Amino acid sequence: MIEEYTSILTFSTVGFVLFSIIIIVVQFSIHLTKRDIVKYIEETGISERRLFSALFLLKISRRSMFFIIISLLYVFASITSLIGILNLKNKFFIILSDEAIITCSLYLSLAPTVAFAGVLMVCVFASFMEARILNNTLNWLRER
Amino acid sequence: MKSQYIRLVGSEQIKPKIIEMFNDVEYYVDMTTCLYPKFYNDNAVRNALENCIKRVVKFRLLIDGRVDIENLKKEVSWIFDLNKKFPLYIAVAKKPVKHVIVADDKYVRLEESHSITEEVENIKNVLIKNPPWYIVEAAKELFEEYWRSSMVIK
Repeated sequence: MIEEYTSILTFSTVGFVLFSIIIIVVQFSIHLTKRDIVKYIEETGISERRLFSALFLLKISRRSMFFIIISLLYVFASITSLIGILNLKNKFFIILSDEAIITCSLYLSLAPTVAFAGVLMVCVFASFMEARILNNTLNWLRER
Repeated sequence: MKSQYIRLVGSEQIKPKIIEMFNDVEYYVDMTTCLYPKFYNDNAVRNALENCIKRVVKFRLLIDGRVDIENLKKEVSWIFDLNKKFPLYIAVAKKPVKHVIVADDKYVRLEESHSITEEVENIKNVLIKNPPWYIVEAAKELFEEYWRSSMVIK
């Protein structure tokens, strides 16, 4: 049972750290991507693919609400996993020794992790779709 | 608010949308254009543009460097004659420019590159309502670049 709690905690932490790194890297690259859009409007030779990458990065970087939700889910998953681990090791809460309650606390920590993955997927997919719409519109303007 | 990307071809499609935009703007307009007389002398467009210039806090009009400015002053004289008390600034670019409008961070209009003699009927435009912030920033940055290297005449 401890292995399950630990893997939930590890999965959440790895996901959270990766997502944070993406957000930080994207924030640094915003100026560059904005220049790409200026160049594209001005038609000074950046490719469609590069424009799409720029739009996608900019879209994903502005999803601060997703970032907040993911952070909250991470905190919830961490706390419930830690409580689960502590309880199994030290019988911290006597009441949780009941098998049904242990299972319940496991699902409590598992649920935010699943939601975390879902929110991440929605965030990437929504950014991808919005960037595609804008990319297609700008390309239409360039077509002869 | 959700962004709207409106594709428009030719003056008949562009006209109502441009009028709607001019009527809606309250604070600023940055615009690069050829001031194509046939289009801007249309009564509805003229009224909307004139009212917009009188209403907004700042209106910057940058005329494409390919245009014969003396000829334009005769053909759309009403713009150049607008009273000095209105916050209208007109400049002429020293080179060809992309035609862009940014208004109140709520509208961005991009026009396809075209020759100065090309008929307005065939020109493609994209009007973005509630554009994403980076499109507004990019369009503003481009406009500022053009404006810095232009010659202000009014």
